[in-house]
Amino acid sequence: MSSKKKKEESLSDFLKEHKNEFLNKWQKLVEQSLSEEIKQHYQFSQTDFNELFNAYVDGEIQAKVPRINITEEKFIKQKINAGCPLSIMSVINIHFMATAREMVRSVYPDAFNTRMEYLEVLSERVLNNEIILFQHYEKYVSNLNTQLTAQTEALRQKNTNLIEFIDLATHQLQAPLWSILGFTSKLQRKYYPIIKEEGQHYLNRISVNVAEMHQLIEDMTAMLLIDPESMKKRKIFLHDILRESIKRVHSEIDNNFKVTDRLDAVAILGDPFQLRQCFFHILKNSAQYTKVEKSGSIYVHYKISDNIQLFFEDDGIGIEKEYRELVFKPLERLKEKEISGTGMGLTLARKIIIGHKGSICLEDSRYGGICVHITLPHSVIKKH
Amino acid sequence: MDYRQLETILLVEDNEDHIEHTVDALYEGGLVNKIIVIKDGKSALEYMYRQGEYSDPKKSPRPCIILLDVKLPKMTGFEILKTLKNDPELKVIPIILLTTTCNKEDIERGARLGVNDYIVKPVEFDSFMHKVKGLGKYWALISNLTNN
Repeated sequence: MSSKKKKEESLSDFLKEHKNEFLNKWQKLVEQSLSEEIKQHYQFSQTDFNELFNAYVDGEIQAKVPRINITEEKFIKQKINAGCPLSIMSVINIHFMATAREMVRSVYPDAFNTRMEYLEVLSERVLNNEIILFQHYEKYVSNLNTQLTAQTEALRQKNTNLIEFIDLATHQLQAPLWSILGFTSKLQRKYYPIIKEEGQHYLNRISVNVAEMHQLIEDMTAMLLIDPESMKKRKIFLHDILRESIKRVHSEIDNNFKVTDRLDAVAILGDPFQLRQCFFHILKNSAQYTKVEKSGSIYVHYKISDNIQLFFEDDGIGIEKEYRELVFKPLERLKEKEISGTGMGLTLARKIIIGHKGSICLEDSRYGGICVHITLPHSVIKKH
Repeated sequence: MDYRQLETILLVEDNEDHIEHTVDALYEGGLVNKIIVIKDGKSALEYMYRQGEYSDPKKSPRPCIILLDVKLPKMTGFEILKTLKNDPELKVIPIILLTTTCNKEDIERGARLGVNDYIVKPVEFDSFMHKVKGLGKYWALISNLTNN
């Protein structure tokens, strides 16, 4: 046996003799380095330290690398699979070396340099284990990525299937409704005069209800299909979006509401189709609730600070504070007002605004009615 | 000889009721054109390419306008649209898509494939009548002008 081996053996025996002291010092150093939070999440037992100690101290002399790898692999896999971060494993390794140096220095103070060779051997083993650790970690992360890619693809496929189903179901549901609408319209156009008053009433009610059903299907489909993923953002002027939305509300509601706006210079990055839908529902809601009032005016203005705020203020009948959150829930309507609608408009509006990373709520309007207050992040503002 | 007949309108629609409503809307709008109805996508393309039972150009004249439903058996309206708009000879024929929903994706897809116009079958049936009348006349006129 060479003298070097002897030195190693004697040191190895020395560390094994003082194993308990070593383990205590080592574990203490590790615990001091890790925060309470980390310690709660990743607990290391005596067995963990013991296994690692054996791997480092015995490895070179007895079974060399293979043994180290087997012990280490098992240990590393266990820890990594438990979600233990790479940095914690490195802390344990670093403190192993620190403890070994300290103990060798304290026992052989005069001949520290001659023992350096053995410490180097130990250091090499620790470094080897660091490399194994990194390799395992890389493999683990790569496996996770593969799993994630597969899951994302499965989810995307599921989503595509769902969209296709919704699309088909919508068409299938709308088709018979449209047939009914067509025939009731024909009855109204051609045979209305010869139908008794009661029959005319039934016919009118059929038309109104089928139309509501039709709109409900449209709104529910829109609700299901609108998602941030499908957003097609581009530079848009809020004034243009507002003007188009006003036009649509006017075509759908027989109501002379007026809209005054101060949005002319504001350009943002957004999905024009979705924002038109959003503004349309906000305006329609306000227009409907101003219907019973005399003036019926909506004032749209904005404010830019560290974000962009839009205000749609009306002078209508207002909404009591306790119902202001309720109106954003799907299919909820304030029925006592007897105003037509599917109860999906403001739900859709909120979904669109959230998709644009903003928020929407109802407040008191300075003009007596309700104020729809939208906040969008500063990042959406598009400079000229 | 060009067998394209100016007065022929091709309606590709599988729903009997919808056929009735659309044909009514066209006639009530004052159009006197001959309307040929085809009920599935595959037959619509056979008609346009004069295949099988549609091989006689006199019986199956080229339409001046095509009203095309989006959802059809055997082949969707989009597939027909894509085929016809990629055909150098047939792409000049105006195509109007008929759809029951105002689904953004459908509208954008139609636009990408070169549709000339689209009609969303609306809640107010009267407004459908109005649109069909208007569009039917408009495209029939455009087609007429182009040909002359």
